[in-house]
Amino acid sequence: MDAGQPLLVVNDLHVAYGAVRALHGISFAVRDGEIVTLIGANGAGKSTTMNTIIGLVKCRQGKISFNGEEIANQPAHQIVHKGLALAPEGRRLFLNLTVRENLEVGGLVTRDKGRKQDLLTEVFTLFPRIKERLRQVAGTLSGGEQQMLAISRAMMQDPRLMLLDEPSLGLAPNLVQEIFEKIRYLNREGKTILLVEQNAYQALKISQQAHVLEQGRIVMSGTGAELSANPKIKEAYLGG
Amino acid sequence: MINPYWELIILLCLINIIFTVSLNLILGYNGQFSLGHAGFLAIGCYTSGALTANLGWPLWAGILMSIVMSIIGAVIIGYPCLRLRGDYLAIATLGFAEILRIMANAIRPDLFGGPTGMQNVKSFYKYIPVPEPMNGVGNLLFTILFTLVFFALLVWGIWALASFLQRIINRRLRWDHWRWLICGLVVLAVIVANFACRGALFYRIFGRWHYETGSGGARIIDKAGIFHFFQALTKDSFASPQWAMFALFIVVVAIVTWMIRNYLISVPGRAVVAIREDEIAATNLGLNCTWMKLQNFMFGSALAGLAGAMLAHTIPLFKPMDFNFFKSVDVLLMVVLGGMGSITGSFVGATIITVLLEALRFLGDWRLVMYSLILILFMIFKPGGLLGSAELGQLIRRRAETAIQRLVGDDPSAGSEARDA
Ligand SMILES: Nc1ncnc2c1ncn2[C@@H]1O[C@H](COP(=O)(O)OP(=O)(O)OP(=O)(O)O)[C@@H](O)[C@H]1O
Ligand SMILES: [Mg+2]
Repeated sequence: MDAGQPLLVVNDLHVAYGAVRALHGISFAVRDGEIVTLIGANGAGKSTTMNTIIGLVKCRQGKISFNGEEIANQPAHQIVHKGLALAPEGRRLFLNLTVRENLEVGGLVTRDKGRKQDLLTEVFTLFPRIKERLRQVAGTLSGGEQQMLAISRAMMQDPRLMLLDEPSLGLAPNLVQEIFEKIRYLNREGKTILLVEQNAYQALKISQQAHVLEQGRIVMSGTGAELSANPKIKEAYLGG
Repeated sequence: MINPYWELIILLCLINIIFTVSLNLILGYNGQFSLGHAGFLAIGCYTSGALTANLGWPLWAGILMSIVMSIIGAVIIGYPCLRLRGDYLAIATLGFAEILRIMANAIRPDLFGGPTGMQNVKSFYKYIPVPEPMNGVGNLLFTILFTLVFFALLVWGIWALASFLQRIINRRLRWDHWRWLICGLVVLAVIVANFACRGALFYRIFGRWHYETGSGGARIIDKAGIFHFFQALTKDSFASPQWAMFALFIVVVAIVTWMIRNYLISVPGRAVVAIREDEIAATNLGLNCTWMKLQNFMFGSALAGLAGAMLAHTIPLFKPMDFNFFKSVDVLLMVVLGGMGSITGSFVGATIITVLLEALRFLGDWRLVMYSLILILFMIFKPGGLLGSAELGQLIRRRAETAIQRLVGDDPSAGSEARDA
């Protein structure tokens, strides 16, 4: 994979929830066409980073630029229109709506009808299971199907950069494997991906760049292979 | 002629349908609590009332201003509250409605009538020109139109039924022409039935036609058929202002329903439902939640204002006490009873409660106890309201489908989780 221009640049990002400081100045970049992973213990600030990039959380200080444009502290609904999409932690599907309605709401930002149809076709090739269940209420999907729907919904926004927050959360090992394959496929199809994962081993295997977060700071960075070979990382995140 | 008491109830039903639907948009589709919805009804009522009766504005301008004023009220209340998540709107609308009521009591009695209310608002009847009894040609045209519509509906109904059955049977036995067979069977059944009752059926539908050559020249007359029925109906009834009122109100309800339907399938309409489900998720899908909620609130309030304006020119008098908290509870009950998130449900809810209100008038203040009882019973046995969030058509189709599947022997549980999109 040839890494292109930096698509997303995060520079010295500080975030606090009231008095609780969650991020103490983190900086990293995501280049066009890459998969970049953030790993870290619970409460390290991974979700906070994602939510700040997409505009759900305001930052105290720092810069976020996407495609050369400054997006820090802009309202979420404007940021999303620039080509970022977040599949949030815990999926946050519209559980009482059908699968089709979930996808439709995901595609609301895409005004072009033809493009919308193409996106739907893409979703169906990636997840044939979603196509079978269009009329089913999202709340009755299995956990794996819900995760697929969450990713599909983000795909419907036609993003250049997809932020995936713990896509393998609560899935059985074989499904985790499947989801990672799909992420790889998406990346090959041209999506740049910023991934947050607890399954550090799998995530590092598919990512070009990775950063380790600890208590709101990036303590280590490197390629996926470098980090998975690092003994400290092995001990802390890969189970020895 | 329908007697004036029932006429008023029918008109009130139609007004309440608009009022209920307006709250359902806000409460059912967007999940925002507007506990002072009577406030917007009052704005509509007083604006149109005062402008037309005391300031000499024309009717259309009064109604238009009612809508505009309601929208302004919605922005004043909605903008600060809807930027936040949570139930701030409930409290704010509640206070808003009370403030309006007290203001109507105290401010400018010459304009708003003070505590005794307004009694000089002209009824729609004063505006509607009494239609002339229809002449022969007009009568004939309407009759032909009605007859055509009747038969078109009949044919369409049979066709829809046949298509529906086709879908069901096809699951068992694929054949593309079931519907033709079914249509043929229906026609055959009608003919047989006609024979069985010695022609009485066709006589009722088509009547018996005669040539009459009298002083006015030769003409065709029809006895006892549908044509005859419509002829009689349009000839006398259409000349009364009562029918003109009904027609006017029904047209308004139809237009409102059509607008809501279009709204609900458009981007803002879908956004609003998504926001009800999960506002944060909706935000990160790129929806401007504050603006979408405000838009929805403005739309709902505008409709409530319209209902208010219609009310002002329908009832002989209104006073501030008519728009107290209990009025807001009334409409809440109509929405909940019919089903939150169901437009046809609101039709049903509004009609039932309006009629019930009249029927239970003898109970006096005990009516409120009945309300609570109804609400509690519904919360226990049918928490989603009569129709839940489905429309009447969907519900009937789904019921029929499961019933027939059971007859045909398909596994009815197979589709039970699926929901019509
Ligand atoms: N809305 C909030 N209000 C206050 N504190 C918060 C809020 N959200 C997160 N925090 C705090 O910020 C810190 C970072 O949280 P964050 O959700 O980013 O962690 P994470 O790395 O995603 O963890 P996990 O792996 O458990 O998802 C935590 O200490 C958390 O308690
Ligand atoms: Mg997290």
